[in-house]
Amino acid sequence: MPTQQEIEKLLQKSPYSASNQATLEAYVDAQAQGQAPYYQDANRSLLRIYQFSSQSADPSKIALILMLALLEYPSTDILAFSYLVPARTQKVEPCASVLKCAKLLESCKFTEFWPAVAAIEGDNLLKNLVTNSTQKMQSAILEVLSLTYKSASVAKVSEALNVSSANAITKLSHPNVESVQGDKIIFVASSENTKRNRVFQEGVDFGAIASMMAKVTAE
Amino acid sequence: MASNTDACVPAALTDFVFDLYDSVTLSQLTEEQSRLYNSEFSDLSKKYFSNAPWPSPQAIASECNGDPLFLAFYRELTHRHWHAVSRPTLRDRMEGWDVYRELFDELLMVAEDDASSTSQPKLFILPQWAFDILHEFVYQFQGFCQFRTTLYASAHKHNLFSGEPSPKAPHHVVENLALMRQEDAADVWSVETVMYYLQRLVAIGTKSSVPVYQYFGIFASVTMSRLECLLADYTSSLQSLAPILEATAVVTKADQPVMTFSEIVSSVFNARLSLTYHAGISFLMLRRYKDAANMVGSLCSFMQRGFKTGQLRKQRNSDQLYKNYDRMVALLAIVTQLCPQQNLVEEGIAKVIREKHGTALAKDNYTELFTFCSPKFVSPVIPDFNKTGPTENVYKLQVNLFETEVASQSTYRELRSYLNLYTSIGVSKLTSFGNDEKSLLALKLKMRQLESNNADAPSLKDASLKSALDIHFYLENDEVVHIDEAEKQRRFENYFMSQSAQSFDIRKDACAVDTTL
Repeated sequence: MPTQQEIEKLLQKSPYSASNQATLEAYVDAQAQGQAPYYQDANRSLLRIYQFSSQSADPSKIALILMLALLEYPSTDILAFSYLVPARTQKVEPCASVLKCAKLLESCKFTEFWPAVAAIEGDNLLKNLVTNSTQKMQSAILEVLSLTYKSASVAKVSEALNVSSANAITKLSHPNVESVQGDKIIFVASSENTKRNRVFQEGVDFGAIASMMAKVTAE
Repeated sequence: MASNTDACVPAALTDFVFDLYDSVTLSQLTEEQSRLYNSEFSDLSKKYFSNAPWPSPQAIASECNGDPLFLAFYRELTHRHWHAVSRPTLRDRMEGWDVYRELFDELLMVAEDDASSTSQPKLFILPQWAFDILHEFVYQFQGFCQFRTTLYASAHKHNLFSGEPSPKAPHHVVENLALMRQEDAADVWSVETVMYYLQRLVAIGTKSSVPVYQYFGIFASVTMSRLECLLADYTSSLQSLAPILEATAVVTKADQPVMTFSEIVSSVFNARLSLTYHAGISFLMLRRYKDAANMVGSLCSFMQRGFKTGQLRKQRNSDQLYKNYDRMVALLAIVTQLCPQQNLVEEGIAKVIREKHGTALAKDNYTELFTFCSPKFVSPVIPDFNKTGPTENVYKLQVNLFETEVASQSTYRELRSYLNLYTSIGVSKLTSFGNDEKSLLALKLKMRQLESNNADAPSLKDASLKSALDIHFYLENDEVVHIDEAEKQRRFENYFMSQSAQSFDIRKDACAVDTTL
């Protein structure tokens, strides 16, 4: 299995060389198996190699890359990748299901997301990745909820996370969850979920003054 | 290849070639080369070659001692002229590939020699000239990809891949198909090789301290950014600009002031335009609306002033500038609609947007605006011209994905307009107005975007997540939405600073005017 350092070297040398294909595919598998950290540039390079030579493209690897990007939610990695995947690949399984899940997450339709993600069909690597990533997806959804909710009912949060009780939410030990009080989940207060005072950002950039003064003194 | 114009080469032309060769290799004077490249070449072209090719390199080789590198530059310059004044055939396009390969192979070889030598560099080319070469290189690549895709689709339509080709198949399609089926045609304008040359030029340019290689490195980064955008890799398009935006090196030439890499880009207006436009498109597609507006808005304001004062109308390709300006205004129309914030663009530009695109914006017609402002995306795939297969419409894919991206915008706009009316509102009441609680979350999520920490220099790395909304809201007990205004940023100081700087420049110009009678 290639290491991240090896991949970095490879990308620096020639990011889109067809000779990198097998190594990058092995690295995608390693990420899916949890043996290597997520590496956006490596996955994008593999999509580019497929883009240059469509006959060598492997739809199962594309689906894995999209799923790995989906797990980075709420980042926009999957949006950036979707521009590189041909329309005909996006329309067929398993890519179609992964992209459908991405759309549901983006529209914050979490209740609909869970059955959709469970229905993703594909090879064992993809299925195992989906199964083993439940907690990661729940954490990401909690992060998104905490952007808007100061507090929310246990029922609503449970539904969004596809869990049955407040205990299951507590077990996630998410840093954005402050406490469970009765039937309410209290999120950690942040600038996003609390009232903002009117803040006026003012001030003149020092660089702007300095360059102006330099001009004047040079006269 | 000898042309008909080889037989009798006018004396004015041989003198021009001789002087140009001198300015490139011996004198290396910026002003002299600028006069030859920017004025004399177009004057001679108009006079002798308005609809004919320039003489071949062999016909003028004696004027430059047969220097292969200079001849490669001459061949590119004259090929570029012919490509612009004629309707290029497939053979012309294929010859273009030879022209650029020859030039870059020679250039890279000489660059390596120059890097290890301590004597005067062997070559000097103006920044404008270096940019024009690289810009045309990607332009011809783009044209070839479009031609190839269209040819494949036409051949497919006329059954030219089957045993029974249509007798109505146009002659030029049959002929071009035969050309593309030749073995050596497979690698013509291959994307890997195009990228290889650009990457090598960037690598050499960032390491070298010789101005000409630095120019090629800088503008290879700009054209690489354009190429990546055309291939729909918006992340790479922005990453390609790192050698310019993160560079600490400077360009030092005896007869010119010391300049940073960014200043070199700004000194060639078309390069600045290309960089800004493609970065704007990339930011838009990656959902970084404020960065797109900052990037494109400032250049549009500059161009608006330039058109008014006549400064930009003097440029040799002013028609093209107007076209690009219009496209960037359409891009800004999209961005300002998706990210409605005060002061996102200057008032003058906001007025132009309202006048030109008010109707499309009122109907949320993003597709019309996007098809107008987007570049002509291309597919790098080389089709197999011996058999039929699926064709990929990359342009359509980008338009469709953009449509999907903005599909919920009308819902968000309506929701935003309700939120603007209240300081707090019950979720049930909001729902009774036809809104959805999930839309609140989705709106906040979508508008939480990466934003460059330094607005003057777009960056992928130096960016942080910020809200691009002009209102702030949160939900309490999933029953009540509290709304307040977003953090305000007064822009008076920027206005004051720019006006002061402008007044200072006017005063300086006024002082310089000779008033003696």
